[in-house]
Amino acid sequence: VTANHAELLRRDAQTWMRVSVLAKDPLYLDSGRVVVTQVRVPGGVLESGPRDHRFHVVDFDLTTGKPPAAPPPPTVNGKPGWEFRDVLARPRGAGALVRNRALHGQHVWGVAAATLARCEQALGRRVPWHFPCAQLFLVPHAFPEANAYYDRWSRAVFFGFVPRADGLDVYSCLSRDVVAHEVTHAILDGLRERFLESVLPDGLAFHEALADVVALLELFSSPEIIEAELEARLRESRQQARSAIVEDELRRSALFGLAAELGRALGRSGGLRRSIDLEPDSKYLSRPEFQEPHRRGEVLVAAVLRTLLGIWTLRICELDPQGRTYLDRAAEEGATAAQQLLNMLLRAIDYLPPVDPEFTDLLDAVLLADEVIVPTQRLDYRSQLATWFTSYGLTAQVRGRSRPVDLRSRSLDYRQISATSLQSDPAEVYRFLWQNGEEIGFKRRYYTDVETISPVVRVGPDGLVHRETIATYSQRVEGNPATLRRHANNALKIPRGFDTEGDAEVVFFGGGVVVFDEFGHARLHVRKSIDDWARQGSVLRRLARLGMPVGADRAIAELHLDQPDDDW
Amino acid sequence: VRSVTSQPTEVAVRMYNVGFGDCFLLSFAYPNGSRRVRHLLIDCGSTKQARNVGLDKVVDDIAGRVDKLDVLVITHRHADHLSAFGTASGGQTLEGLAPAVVLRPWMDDPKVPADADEPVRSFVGGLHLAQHFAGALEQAITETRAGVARDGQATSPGRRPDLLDFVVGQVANTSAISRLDRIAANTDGRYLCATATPLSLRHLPGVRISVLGPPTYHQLPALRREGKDYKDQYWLTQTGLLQNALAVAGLTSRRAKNLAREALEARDSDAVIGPARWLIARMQDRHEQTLERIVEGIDNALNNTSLILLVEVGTRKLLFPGDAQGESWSWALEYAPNRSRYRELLKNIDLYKVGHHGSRNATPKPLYELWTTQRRELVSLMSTLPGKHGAASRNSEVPRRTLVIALNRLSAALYRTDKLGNAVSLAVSADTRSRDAFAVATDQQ
Repeated sequence: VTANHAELLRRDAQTWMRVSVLAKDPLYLDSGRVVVTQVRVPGGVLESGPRDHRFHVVDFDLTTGKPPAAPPPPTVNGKPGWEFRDVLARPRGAGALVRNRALHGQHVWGVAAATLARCEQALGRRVPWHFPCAQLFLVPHAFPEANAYYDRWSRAVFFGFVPRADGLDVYSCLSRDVVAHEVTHAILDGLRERFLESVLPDGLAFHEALADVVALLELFSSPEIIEAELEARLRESRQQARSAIVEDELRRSALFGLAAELGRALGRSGGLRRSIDLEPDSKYLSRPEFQEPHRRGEVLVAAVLRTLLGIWTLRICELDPQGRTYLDRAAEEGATAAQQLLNMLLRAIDYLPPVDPEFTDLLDAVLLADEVIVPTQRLDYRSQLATWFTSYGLTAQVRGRSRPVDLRSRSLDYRQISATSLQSDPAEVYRFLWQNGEEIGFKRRYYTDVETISPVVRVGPDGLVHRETIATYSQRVEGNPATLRRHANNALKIPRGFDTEGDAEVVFFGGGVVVFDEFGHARLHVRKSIDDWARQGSVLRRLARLGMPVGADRAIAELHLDQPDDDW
Repeated sequence: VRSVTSQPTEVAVRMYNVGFGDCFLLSFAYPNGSRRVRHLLIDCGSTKQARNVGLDKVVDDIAGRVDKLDVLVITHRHADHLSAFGTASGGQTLEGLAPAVVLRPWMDDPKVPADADEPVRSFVGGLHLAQHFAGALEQAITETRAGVARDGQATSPGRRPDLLDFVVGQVANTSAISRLDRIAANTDGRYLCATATPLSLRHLPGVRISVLGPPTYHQLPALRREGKDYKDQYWLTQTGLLQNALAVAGLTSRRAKNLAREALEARDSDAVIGPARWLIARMQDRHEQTLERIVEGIDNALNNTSLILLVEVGTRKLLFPGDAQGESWSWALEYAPNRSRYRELLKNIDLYKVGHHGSRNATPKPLYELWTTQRRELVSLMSTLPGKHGAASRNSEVPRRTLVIALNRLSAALYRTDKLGNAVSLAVSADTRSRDAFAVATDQQ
């Protein structure tokens, strides 16, 4: 290699940094040492903290009252720059790792940055936070509580810890899946801010489900964990390699469990959640105990994990179990399947309505998003996903629910509308909606915000680039329930016992996504009609049941604890 | 000669105006026998006394009516249910009523039973540690506030004004507890858990007392293994919520105090310049919420130690659930092997002592549903004081508005201590052979 080429290769290596993080958490050991893996993080200028252009790790612990601990400089020479000094690369025992708090920052930052990069890669663009600042605070030792949460109001993700008398405190910031889970909340909040405010249970449940799915599937990007798990699980079944055995073994692996250590700190021996153990049943969503967001989210997670498990098993059984590279290949198949599935789900976010998402919208969105990128059906993923979604009752069509509308064949009015402006100007997008109200089912009479306009560029498997512009809008109407019922010509049902007296007002939301192709032509409209009074009726029923104004102010902190659902 | 008294002919329930707390005196009238009126006292305590009615007045009133207590029930160890036993004069007066039997929940037994295994010991120890933590926290908040007052700083720590109140309610009332331990040790002290067979006490002939809660430590987790889903996490949640507090309190009380103090003190932000400074101010606020959640965890755990008693006398059924919340109730209503018997028992209630001062989660909806179809007229007694706990904006106000509406809809009458004005008490009574609703007792002016 000539000096010139070496220089080019070195620069290329800086585009991505390899950052050591814990493979799972401090309980995941190999010969007494915590298993460490490397994740890929986009290169950039690093400052002490670590702090880069998207994340700012603030190691401040109110319980000690100390100013932020001085973390080891993340760069080789101690000055801000692109070079990265990996302090977690050296294998350590759990005790040493836990006690040396200065090392925790790198773990939090590495997992967070890798998670964000993963989502941006799937979406084909930068993902904004909910707030204008590009940096999200990460606080690895925020408070003594077995909890971790994304807090929009503080622009931060807080990680709690449980102090223990033996000094081996339990740090949620050292659980890779917990970090990925919380950062996913922040990511989704940046993409679909009204999901957190959704009154219907699916909004918050979708948050929880996506966060779990990202956390679990991200693990598959670390071959050493998969290989170790396969080694442990498939050694026996290698002789037979029958699909039922393989599937059963895989299913029981630690790969599908979430937050083992934190779960143990909370007194749950099996970790916080193992959604894959939820047997298929199409009735879950209507059961009362599945109205709680985490529990409800588990249904979706289970469907996704079962899809992954199915595809993976299928692939493994095609391999020669006696082959020398059997385990490597098997791990690779898992990583590929996880990556594909995760891509499909993340891309689908763009095709989800911006308000009141329901689980039944997700499969539509996945199939629509994948249709653009992968026009030829990859039977495996799409049909497997559809099958599993159906078996968990995630495709049940609600009567009157608006399905995505293909606008390509409609004759729409583009007079005075500029394709260029449509890519960035809310007023232009609104003009499009205004001008085509009747044709696309947009109701002009309601107050409307055009919320986001995102240009999207993606590369399909054919190697060609697809450009789209995705615009979202929301609509609102507020008033006393009785007034709203009159407005709805009595189509709105007010639940018994709902307080219609006094000056209590409710707000109903509607909204949609319009996808424009590269010629500025609307291709697709996915919406939640504001005047879908059946849906707004369920909003009222839910409000009556919760008896509370549900809003973004309800911190995720409290969501992560048990939610009282039977309260007065 | 042993009296042939078998059945009381009348039962009266006197609800004392203790402010925020509980104190109920049940009196049973017998047609004959050595003692024509016998008494059962359920709790006597307050954390915020009613205006013009001190707790001493309440104790004096009891002593004026009662020559001797036949049975004393302390539903659980929260101060608002037993603080009267902690005062010098009040405590002495009550002790002087020489209760023959003392009933308390199993976890309040000062001697942990020898056959208790590790989880039980750690849970029981946990309750003590939690109260210890509350004590340290109370001290820290008080000191911090005093410090701030002295330094005259503008910023006030403890932005949540009710945090201190909330904490104080959790602190162990050691003088009351040791008095109760002593009384119980010298008489027939019993520590109860939910059981299938009702108690029949020699001192209260013709009265059956069914214990519906608290369940033992092992009852609920056993069900989890049967895959019964979610509420099964009762003890786990209890233990989990406690754990935070315990972990901190378990180290040293100094650390617990530091924890609280640092969280509450206005931070000297000189140490932190730059973008993180803004964040730290926010963290401080969130941190108080953390403390509040820890205290809430302690509060829930202690409430759920409450005895749930169903008193049957003649045709009458009276329900006294202490402060038990939904989690503890789920044993009797959903999980107990004999739950169908429990549910039968819980139908056709004549008198309901509203659980936990009317809070949002102490009158389970499945329980309420049982009464919507009953023919018998329900009378509810609610000992409560608005403005002391919770907030309407968080739907946690005590008493909870929606519950009050629901109870009013269901009950022939709902009597509340906060509507008693200057009266020391209100009594309702009923004939034990008829089915007419409990009515305000004739001696009530």
